[in-house]
Order: sequence, then structure tokens, then C-alpha cells
Amino acid sequence: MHMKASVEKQVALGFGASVATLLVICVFFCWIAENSITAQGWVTHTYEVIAALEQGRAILADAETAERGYLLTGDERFAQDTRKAQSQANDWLATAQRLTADNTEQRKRLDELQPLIARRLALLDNRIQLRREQGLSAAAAAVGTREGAGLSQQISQYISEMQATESQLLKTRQQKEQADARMAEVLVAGGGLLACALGLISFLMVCRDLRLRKSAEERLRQNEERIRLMVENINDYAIILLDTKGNVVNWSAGGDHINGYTEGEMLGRHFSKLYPEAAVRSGFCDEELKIAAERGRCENESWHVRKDGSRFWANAVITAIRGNDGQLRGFVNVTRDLTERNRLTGLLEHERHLMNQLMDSATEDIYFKDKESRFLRISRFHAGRLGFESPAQAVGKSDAEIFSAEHAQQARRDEEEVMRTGRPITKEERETWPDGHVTWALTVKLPLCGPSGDIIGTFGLSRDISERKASEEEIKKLNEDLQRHTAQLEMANKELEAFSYSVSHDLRAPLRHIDGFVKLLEKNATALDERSRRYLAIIADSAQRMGALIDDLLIFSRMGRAEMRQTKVESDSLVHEILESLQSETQGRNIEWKITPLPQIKADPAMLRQVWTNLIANAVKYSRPRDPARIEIGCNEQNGDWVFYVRDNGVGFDMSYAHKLFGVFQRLHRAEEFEGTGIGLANVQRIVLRHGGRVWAEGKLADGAAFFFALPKSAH
Amino acid sequence: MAPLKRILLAEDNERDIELTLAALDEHNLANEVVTVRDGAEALDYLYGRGKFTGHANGLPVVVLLDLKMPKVDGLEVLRQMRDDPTLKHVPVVMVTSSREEQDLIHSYQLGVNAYVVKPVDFQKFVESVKQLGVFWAVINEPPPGTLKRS
Repeated sequence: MHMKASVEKQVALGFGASVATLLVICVFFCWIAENSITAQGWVTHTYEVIAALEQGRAILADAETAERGYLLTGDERFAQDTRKAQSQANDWLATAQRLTADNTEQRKRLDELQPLIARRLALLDNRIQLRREQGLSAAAAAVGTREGAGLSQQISQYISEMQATESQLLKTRQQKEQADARMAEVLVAGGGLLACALGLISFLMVCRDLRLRKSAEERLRQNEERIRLMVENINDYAIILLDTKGNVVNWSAGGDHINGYTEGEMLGRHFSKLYPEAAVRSGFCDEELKIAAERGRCENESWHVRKDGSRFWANAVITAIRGNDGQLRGFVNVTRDLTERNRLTGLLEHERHLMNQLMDSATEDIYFKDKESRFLRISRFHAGRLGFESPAQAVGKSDAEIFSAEHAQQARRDEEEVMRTGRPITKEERETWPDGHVTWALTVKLPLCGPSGDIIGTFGLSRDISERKASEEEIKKLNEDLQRHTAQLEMANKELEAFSYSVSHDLRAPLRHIDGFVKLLEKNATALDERSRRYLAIIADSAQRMGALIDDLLIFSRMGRAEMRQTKVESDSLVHEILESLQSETQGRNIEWKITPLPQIKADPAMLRQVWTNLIANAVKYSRPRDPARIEIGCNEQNGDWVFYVRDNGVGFDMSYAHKLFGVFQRLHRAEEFEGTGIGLANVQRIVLRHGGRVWAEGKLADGAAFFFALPKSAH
Repeated sequence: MAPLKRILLAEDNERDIELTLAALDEHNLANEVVTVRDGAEALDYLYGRGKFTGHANGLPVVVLLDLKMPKVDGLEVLRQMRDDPTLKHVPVVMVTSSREEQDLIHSYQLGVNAYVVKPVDFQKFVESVKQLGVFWAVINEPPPGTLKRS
């Protein structure tokens, strides 16, 4: 408004200035005109004076002419002319006096001229008199004095001077008049332009002001429209305009929504229709209006009634509207249905209850931190672990005040990363406490998001895993020990390999020599008695037996070291091949074979052949005393393993020695009873173990034996 | 001048030499054998150098090599022979106490013609050596440039 006033003022000022300029120009122009008229008067006057002076000269000339005429002729008509000229000269003098009244210089000259003229006229009279009285010659003599001519000359000179002065005046006055006219031109033109400019500026300002007013009005209109739309679209609030008595004068769409009435139903009705009858009877509504009128505002939460009679709890604010004069014009009643808010409050309360239980009772470290990694809230359990008496004590604290600087810095870095990337971090944290002791925690740190989704900190869960970590350390140590042992074992194995190599090569040579030279001796010696021959036979046999032992041992050693090549093995055909190869042992024997179908498995074929060969050969060997011998070969499935077995009805064994069965060179029978080196079952066990399986045996002395080996179905 | 020998036996153990010769004698092949006591000597013989300088040695029909010998072992002799164009085709039989699979594999990789494990049993030993001698010295047709049976 201030601006508008100032614009108006400016416009008024502009127009005022413009009018004033015009007025000034007018006045000035009048003055110039006046001046010009005066100046012209003066010019005219000057012309008059010049003309008068010329006339004066003419009158004198006439007078002199008339005198000369009379003097020559004596004709009285000339004398009359002279008298006439004389009176004319007097008249002229009076006129000249009048005309030169304004000019002292001219007046002075005129005053000096006047006696000269008087003398000249008097002289005129004298000569005429002389002529008339004394005749021509007297008069001619008088003329001959040249007095008249001198006077005339003097007079003429005065008149010329006066004329020159007047001419000068005329020139000056004309110049002044021209200058005045030019000044008037300039002033009128400049003033006109100025007035025009001021008028134009004012006009532009008025235009601009009009435009501004128009757009302001448009804005105002739009604003009103917006406010109207806003009010119309507020569904959660009923905005009701009441008159001073409480009758509805304006009803918003929110009212439809909240109260169920339409505008048409409510206009002109008292707003108490929206409240329960009991409340209305107790004067609740009137009281509200009264308070609003007195204090300007009245807010209440109370029951309201919808059109359908249902009640709802609502908040109502009644505000008094007063005019500029302070007169009460009415009220605005803004009602908000609190049902949803109350429901949300309940929900919120419930959520808070859950949260509190979690934070108070969970045996976990739970914490929320702000952007600077200061605790916002922590679980009671966590507070206890950090050494606080209550969770509240931890609020505002940071790790730096609890842990060692090193750990606090690491934790801070982790949290910064979580906040930067928005991705959670899971890690095992090594927590160093100020007193130097160390604990371990399994921690998940996550970004904490505010309601708008931006990250406002972190929260985390951690669990003390110090014990687990300790046992892990233990396991790690054990593992290291194990690795060391394995390395030692590997070395021992290598040494064993070197040993068995030399056994293989060097130990067999002397045996070969013993046998060889014994045989050569037998062949070459001519006189050897029977006993000597038997001794030599024993020596040779011993050497051969030792050779067999060494060979078996080498095979056993190789079984442990050889690389495994696992492929599919058809157990059925493998067993049948072995039975074929054992024909020399089974020939002439009465053996009842019972072989159930065997599965295909994954194993090293050569090694598996060794296993089956040993077991079946053993069964054949130890059932030798039986007729018929019964040998059963089969397989069944147990706990994901294939369990193969070879059962015979042979000599069996004492179960108390069962642990010795699979040992190297361990035998339960004498060599004379059953040949063998005692390496076969040791080989079986070694091979099965290498396949990840196990072996065992069941037997009873003199009542058969059963050997089992189990291999995992899912071969590794 | 002694007759040219057609079988080269490289063996460090003198008892094994005696047994081997005894076994070959059964087939009258002992005279055809020249024995050297280590791998270095075996190479010297084959190249006619060292103590064999000046000997007019023809290429043997077969070389019997012990695997484990002082100085240069059997595998090294085999390797050098197989690297030499003139000795490349001479048949080599590894005769050894070792049943080690690695030795076996290694020998065949180097291009051995046969690999025989000396059995402890003398009868079996005689049998093997005899068969070896007969096969290589009598039955087998040696590569050109090899000494012929006189």
C-alpha cells in the first residue's frame, strides 16, 4: 500500500509539475507579449519622433521658403504662409516636447533647440516687417547678415543630432525586441517540451500503476481461489463460518466429510446441531462462543455427533472474527476428527511398548547412534556390558569414552562407511577396553534412516562372542599343531619311502644271493648227505620266505602312497574276475558260493581288486578244512554307505583277538596251518580307509568269520 | 684278440654278476658277455673311451643294466644312450631288484625295451636271465650295424 501511495504521489507530482510548467510558460509568455507590445510601442514612438523631427525640419524649411518668397515678392500670401509656418512650428515644438518627454537627453536638446527656433521665427518676423516697412533692399541687407542662415544651420544640426539619437534608439529597441522574441521562442519551446515530458512520465506511471493494480488484483483473486480450494479440499478438518449467534454461514467440504451434513443442510442452522444433545442442554455451545468472544479463541476436545447419529471424539477450535472497528462479526469453527489420531496414538503406544520390551529385556547389544556416532539409545543389556547403570546414562556418549582409542576409531570408520554407502556391515569386532582386556563381538551395523529416508545415523546389533572366539583360537592352535604333525608325518613318510626303496633294492639282493648260491652249491656239490641237503633246502626256503615278506611289505607301503584313481567299478564283474583268478586255490574243493548282486561304486579299481582278492582268498583259505565250504558275498545299504561282506564257515577266530586282525604281520594262525605273511588284511584296511570307509570283522573260533567293509555311497 | 662280446652287462654287485653269468652259462651265452661295474664304465665301453680306448667294440645286441649303480646309475646310462643317434636303437633291458613303480615308469619313459625284476628264487632268476639272453642274443633281430653271431 505504501508503494501505491508513493506512486500516486509521484503521479500527482508529475502532473502538478507539468501544469505548473505550463502556467509558468503562460505567465512568461504574457509577460513577453506585454514586453513585446511595449517594445513595439517604443519603436513606433521612435518612428514618430523621427517623423516629427523631419516634420520640424520641413516646417522650418517651409517657413524659410515662405520668408524668402515674401522678401523677394512682398506678396502677402507668403507672409501668411510664414505666419502659418510659425504657428505650425510652435505646434510642432509642443508635439516634440510631448514626444521626447521620456528622453532627458532629447528633451535637453529640444530645450536648447526651442530658443533657437524662437529666435529664427522672430528673425523671420523682423525681416518680413523690414521688407514690408523698408523695402526689399533693407530686407536684403538683413539677409545679408547671414544671421538667419546660421540659425537655420544650427537648428538643422540639432534636429539631425536628435534624429541620429532616435535612429540609434530605434536600432537598440529593435534589437531588444528581436532578442526578446528569440528568448520567448526558446522558453516556450523548452517549457513546452518539459511539460510534455512531465506529462508523458506521469502518464507512463499511471499506466504502470494500473498494470500493477491489475496484476495485484489478479493475484488476490487467485489467492482467494486457492484459499477457497484449499478449504474445500481439506477433508480432515471441518471449517465452518458462524455468525455472531452461532448460525452456520459457510460450510466446507470437510464438514461433509467429518459431520456427514451437506452445505445445504447446515446453512443457517445453529452449530450446536453438531454436538450431543446433553452437551447442548448444559450450555456447552453457548459457553464456547462466549469464551471465544471474550478471549478470541476457544479450544476443546469433546464428543461430536454425525448426521447419522454416531459419535466421534473431535478437537474444535472456535476463533472470533472481528472487524477493523473491533466489532464481533462472527466465528470460525475448525473441527478435527481425532478418531484416527487416537488410533495412531494407540498404535504408537503399542509400538513403543514393544520397542521398550526389546530394549529392556533382550540379552543382546542393541544400539542406535547419531551421525557423530553418539549413542541415541541402547539396550539395557548393552548398557550393562558397557558399564553404565542405566541405558539413559549412555545417551550422548561415544565409543571413545568407553573403549580404547584404537577400537573407537575403527568403530567410527565402520559407521562412517555404513552412513556413506547405506549398506550394512557385518563383522567380528575386536573390542579393546581401557584396562587392556579384549573381548570379541559379532556386530551388524546398519544405516539409521529418518522419516524422510535420509541417513541420520546408524544402529547395530552385537553379541559377545569372546567364548566362541577363544575356542576358535584353541581350534586354530590345534590345527596348527595338527599341521605341524602332518608335516612331520609327511617327512616320516618320505623317509619311510626312501627306506622301503632301499629295502626293496638292497635287502632282496643278499636273499637272492643266498638262494642262488645255495642252489649252485646243491648243483655242484657231489658229496652231500641227506641232512646237508635238507639244511640247504631250509636256507633257500627261508631266503625265499623273507623275499615274500619284503615284497608284501613293499606292496603294503605302496598302497599307502600310491595315487588313487577313482572311477566307476562294477563290483559284480570284479568279484567274478577274482573268482576266476583263484581257480588254482579252489580247484578240487567243495565250495558253495552264494553271491548276491553287487552295486556299481566309485573307487580305485586296482585297489578295490586288492581288497576283494584278499578277502575272498582268505575265505577260501580258512574254509579249507570244511566240506562243503560255504562262502557268501553280498552287500547292503546302511546309513548312506555300501556295506560289503565276505562270510565263510571256516576256522573262524576268537573275537578277543579281533583288534589284531588288520595289523601288519599280525597272524592268528601259525604258518604251518595257513600260509601267509599277515599283510593282506592290513592292506584291506589301508585301502578302505583311503576310500573314506571302514572295515571290521565278526567271527567265532571254529565257527566261521565275516569280514565287512563299508564305503560311502557318495564317493569323494 | 679276444672275440667280440655281444652282451653288455652293467652290474655293480659281483655276486649278481656271478649268478647272472651262471644263469647265462646254462645256455652257453656266458662267453658273449662283457661286464662293467658301473654306469660310467658302461658308457666308456659303448663309446670306446677310458679304459676301453682302442678296443674295437661293435654295438652289443643288448645292454643289461642294473638300475642302482655307483657313479652313473642305470637310468642315466639309458638316457644318454637314447639321446645319442648311434646308440639310440640298441636294445636295453633294465635288470633290477626294484619293484618300485616310479622306477618302472621312469625307465619306460626313457625308452627301455624291457624291465625285469630279479626274483629272490634262484630257479626263477635263472629262468628269467636265460630267457633274456636267448631272446635278445639269439631270437631278436638286432638293428643294422650290430655285431652278428659268430
